[in-house]
Amino acid sequence: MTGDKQALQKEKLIVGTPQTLRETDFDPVGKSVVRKDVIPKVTGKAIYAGDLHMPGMLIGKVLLSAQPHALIKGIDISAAAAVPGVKAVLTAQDIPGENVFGIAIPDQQVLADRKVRFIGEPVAVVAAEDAFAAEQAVSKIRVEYEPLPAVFNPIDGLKPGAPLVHEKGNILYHTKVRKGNIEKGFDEASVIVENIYRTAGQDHAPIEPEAGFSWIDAEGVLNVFTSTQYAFRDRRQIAVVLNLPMNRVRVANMTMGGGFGRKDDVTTEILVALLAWKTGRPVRLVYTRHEAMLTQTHRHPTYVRVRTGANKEGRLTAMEGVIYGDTGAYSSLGIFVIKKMALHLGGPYYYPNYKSDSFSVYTNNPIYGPFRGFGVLQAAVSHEGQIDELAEKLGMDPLEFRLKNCLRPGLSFSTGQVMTEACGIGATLERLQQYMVENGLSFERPQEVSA
Amino acid sequence: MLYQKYEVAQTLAEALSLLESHNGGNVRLVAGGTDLILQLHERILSAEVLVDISRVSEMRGIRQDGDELVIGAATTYAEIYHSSLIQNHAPLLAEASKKIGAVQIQNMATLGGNIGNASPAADAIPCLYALDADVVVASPNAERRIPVAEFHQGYRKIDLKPGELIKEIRFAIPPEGTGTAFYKYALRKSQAISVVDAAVCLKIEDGVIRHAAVALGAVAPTIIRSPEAEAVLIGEPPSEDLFARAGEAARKDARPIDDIRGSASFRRYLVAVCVSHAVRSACERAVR
Amino acid sequence: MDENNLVKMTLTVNGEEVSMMAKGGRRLLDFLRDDLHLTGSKEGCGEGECGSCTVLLDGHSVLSCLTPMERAIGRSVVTIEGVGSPTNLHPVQAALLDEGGVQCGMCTPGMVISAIDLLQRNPDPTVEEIIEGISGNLCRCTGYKKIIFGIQHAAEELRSSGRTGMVKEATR
Ligand SMILES: Cc1cc2nc3c(=O)[nH]c(=O)nc-3n(C[C@H](O)[C@H](O)[C@H](O)COP(=O)(O)OP(=O)(O)OC[C@H]3O[C@@H](n4cnc5c(N)ncnc54)[C@H](O)[C@@H]3O)c2cc1C
Ligand code: FES
Ligand code: FES
Repeated sequence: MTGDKQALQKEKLIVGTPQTLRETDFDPVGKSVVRKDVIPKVTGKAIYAGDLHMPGMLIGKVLLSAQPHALIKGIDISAAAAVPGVKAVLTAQDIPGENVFGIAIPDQQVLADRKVRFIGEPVAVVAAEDAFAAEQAVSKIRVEYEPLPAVFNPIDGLKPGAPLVHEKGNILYHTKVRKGNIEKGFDEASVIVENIYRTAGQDHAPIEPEAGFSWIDAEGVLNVFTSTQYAFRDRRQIAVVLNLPMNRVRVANMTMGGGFGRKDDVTTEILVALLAWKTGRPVRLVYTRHEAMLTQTHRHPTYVRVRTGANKEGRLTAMEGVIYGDTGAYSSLGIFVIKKMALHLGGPYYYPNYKSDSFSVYTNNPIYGPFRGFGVLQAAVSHEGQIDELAEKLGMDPLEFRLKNCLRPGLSFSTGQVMTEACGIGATLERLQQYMVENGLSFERPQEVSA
Repeated sequence: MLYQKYEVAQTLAEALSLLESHNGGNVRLVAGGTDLILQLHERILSAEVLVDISRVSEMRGIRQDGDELVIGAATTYAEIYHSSLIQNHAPLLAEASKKIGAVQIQNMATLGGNIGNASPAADAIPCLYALDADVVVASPNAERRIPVAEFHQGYRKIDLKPGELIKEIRFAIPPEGTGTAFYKYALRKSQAISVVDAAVCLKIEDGVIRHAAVALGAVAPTIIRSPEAEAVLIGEPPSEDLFARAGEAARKDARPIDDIRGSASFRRYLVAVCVSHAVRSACERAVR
Repeated sequence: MDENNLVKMTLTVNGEEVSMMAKGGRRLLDFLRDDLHLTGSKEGCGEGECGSCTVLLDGHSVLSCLTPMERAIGRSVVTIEGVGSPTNLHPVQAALLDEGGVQCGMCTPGMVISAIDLLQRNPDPTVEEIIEGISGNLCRCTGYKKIIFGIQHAAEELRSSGRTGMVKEATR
């Protein structure tokens, strides 16, 4: 390694722009360096969005929908506005620009207007002199709901006559992946296994719940200092909702207390910006753990039916699958996560014939969005289950079976893309095999436990 | 605000008179605060006045009084599991104390608070059922002493009137040949409420179990004893087969419900697991 | 606003005397963060589960989100800000840094306090005891391994230099 590095540096192969990089710029490579964020973090001096404060600061609090699916017949804020210390009680009507945002498509309301689509959807937002006044005000907002029939899983959501979460219909996105000839592939199979797999939702639970801090500075710029994974996208969306030119909005990313995907979406940013804009005062909005679990995104629950075939020699011949991904009330990244799942449903194995369909479906559940793994984890549950069962039916060692079928350079993925070098599954399995031999390990099926 | 006024009592008399002076108002005792402050913060409860009893000297610490052990209601779990009296005479309480919450909770929370909160999944209370302990209740004019099982009247309902407080817990020091054990199943090893737990106190004489008390947590509206399991144990020599049969028998007394931590049928299954584990370690300790 | 329930908060925080009038009826965590602007103690859950609000009260680790603020009157509170400074880290802080036990850092203040509480009581903990000692502190980033190594190394460092984990002594 060191030799390679020296060779590289000697030949000065690496040229940066605009200046040429010097050898010393590579000094940290291969060494342990102190990350510059760590000393502030171990001493408690790192500033997270929820740590910010300013003189005259107000505290924000959100009223979340108590209904999964309902028409809003009226909102009475009078008692809330009368709570001493309350400076603003805002509903959809108070939004200066467009009441819409969304990381992939703009299908989500900032504050629910006429209809709520999940328990936890923001309906109103309050700013007050302290947390207790804000909390009291939120508890005094009266919302008159007219409940609508609701749908809580994607399979029900696709049935004819299912309640419509969005007027355009419950299918957010349908992805089709086709490769080879699926009938031919199953004809060639001597063993076929077919199963249904279900995975549950999951909360990212970053230790820092979502937090944002907003104020208008002396130049009239609306600042939002926040716990976010994507400041620029937040900025664009805030500007639309507040009807401000982009150069009047500044978004800064504070030290982030964990995101794992869910702070990719807009979280508190637009709401806290609205409050600061309307009150002219600095405002801090920090979700409680409970609020964060209700109103933020989660990992997609999925329902999968998959059929996989292999021939007598132990080679996979075909895979066919359908995925129903629950994206909840709004899209978030539900288009892409569930699309990716269709691509990865077969896992890191080679299938000459492949067919998958995935449906990202709206329901009245909480919103499901990006979460590390991005659909691939859910797919792994089914492809590994299928592979194990096929190996067992064929009487083959599960590791041998995987080695025989894993993607290697020269073979094509579900999309037809031919692998060049990016696929390390073969090398990983070989290393595992070696380790098992060295340590005298073998695969044993766990004993069934009876309850 | 979570409350309007905070009063700190240094002595039992002061605590009782503070309770009396705020009588009729919304006054609550606070010991460790690990249940109460959370319930106030989440608006499950409200309070105007809190009376802090965590430093009342008469309600703190563990001592021997004749043939009885006395645990002050404001004694923390950390103090309980560090106590050699408890480790020697009632190791099940040390075991349970180590399993309640995690270090910080054990530094804060108290035995009296566990009883005052009266959760059917409380971990210390089953131990008190198994030890046949009494609750000593103090009021300005009197003290009364009630068996712990009578003190718990129903789901989250205890025999405590306004103006009264739990002063201490008393139980007879278990005689020679006694073994006690606590076994808890929860979704994590720490910081988790019991899905099911079992506390056992039994005495072995000449190789045969002569006394057996088996208590179960999180399987009924209150902590319960399991007469079925106790009947199976008494008169028998310890054996793996007996531990299994005692576990099976305990399932008949359990009346669990479904909740987020586990289904009723999973709980019924766990009752057998917890009871047989607890009985086994109690027997091992009894013969040592 | 309710001006009736002002209380006199007289206590020691990180070795310094604090004496001020403050709105009562709140949690110690709120008093530390909002009134003293000691924002190193974090609120990860507000319900006792995550340990990110852990502070030392008279030397024992407690959850400031479940502690009424008035309980701290006349007592000593140590928060992460009182543990070590950037130029004089406590061995626990230095070891977490060296081992890569810090990622987003949100759990770190509570984790450091819990580790100090453990090492004060038990200067030579086993891995099992370390795990138990930090079992009231959740970390979503690191997977705990590197935190455990860090605490092990901090313990070794303290023992070999003949110091205890006590904040004053360890950062001397
Ligand atoms: C994160 C976490 C984990 C937990 N894990 C567990 C667990 O594993 N097992 C378990 O059993 N519990 C657990 N608990 C619950 C709690 O810690 C225990 O019930 C504890 O014993 C309560 O004691 P405390 O002193 O904190 O009570 P407090 O909160 O101070 O009081 C609880 C109630 O009892 C009343 N009370 C207190 N003392 C007296 C008295 N002397 N006389 C009359 N009434 C009184 C109070 O008014 C209040 O209503 C957990 C709590 C948290 C927050
Ligand atoms: S904030 Fe106190 S334990 Fe989580
Ligand atoms: S470092 Fe992020 S929670 Fe521990």
